[in-house]
Amino acid sequence: MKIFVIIPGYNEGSAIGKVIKDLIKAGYTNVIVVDDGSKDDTGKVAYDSGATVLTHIINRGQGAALKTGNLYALENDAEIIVHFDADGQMQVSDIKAMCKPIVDNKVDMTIGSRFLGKAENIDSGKKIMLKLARFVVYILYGLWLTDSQNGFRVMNRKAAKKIEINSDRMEHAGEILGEIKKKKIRFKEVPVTIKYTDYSMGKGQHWTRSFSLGVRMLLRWILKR
Amino acid sequence: MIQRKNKNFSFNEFIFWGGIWIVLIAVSFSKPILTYAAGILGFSRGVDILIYGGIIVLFYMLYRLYAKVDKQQQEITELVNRIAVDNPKKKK
Repeated sequence: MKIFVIIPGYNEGSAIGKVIKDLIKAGYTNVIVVDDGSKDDTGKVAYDSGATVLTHIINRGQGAALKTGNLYALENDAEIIVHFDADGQMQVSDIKAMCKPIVDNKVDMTIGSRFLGKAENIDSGKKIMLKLARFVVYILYGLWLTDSQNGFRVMNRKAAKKIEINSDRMEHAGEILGEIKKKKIRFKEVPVTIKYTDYSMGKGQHWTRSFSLGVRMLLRWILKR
Repeated sequence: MIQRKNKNFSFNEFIFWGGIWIVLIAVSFSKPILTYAAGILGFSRGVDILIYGGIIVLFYMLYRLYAKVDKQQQEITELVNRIAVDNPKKKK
């Protein structure tokens, strides 16, 4: 199976190197980093660590970076596409369990869930926001997930071709779920461990920003009607 | 006028927008036309038509502008996607 691991990165120079090396060590040789117009040395670090680097000449957001990654993977005959984070929160060891239901052809896509699995060192504000997000996602997209904002996804070719990501910024997480529902993609949630570190907490979305994300998601939903 | 000077508008566009503005100004200042139109639409004052009409036109333009910006954003993203995919940096 040709597995492509896609890592969107925006100013992740200090953490991304280790993530890439861990992935390659674990046998995932097709690591694709989408450098989303970083102002630091993300692209160089990624290249030196052995990843293939796709460069956004200007910052377009995580949704757009994943779109680039998917496009590249599909054009290079990927059979399985993994969406992974640059900040080291996700565990390389979880990828295997995420891929298994797809390799066994039980589903076309798996989504990681830190609430079925483990969320280490999560702060309460973020936890509450993530639990609230479930309801927002259910109301907007009609999918009930234990962890609707998890960026850890694995999909096969069929699913990747069907999913259209049109929101450039962070709304894509919800949008992808909407696509799953609309295009009837077979999916499953798989328990994963997310380890919050000081670095990733600083980088990740502050929960107040999650709130404005919710508002934008709502706006987009209304306009799409 | 400034747009014309900066050559952002072609001559035809200049005539078109200029014409619209002249008609609008003329209508605004001619009480009989306004009062007549107001009577048809059920407003008591002629000026009301200008105000309501203005608000409707503004909102419509805002909507069009929003749609246009959104479309352009998507086009920029597509462009950035394509450039990135076509120029991978890869270790041999």
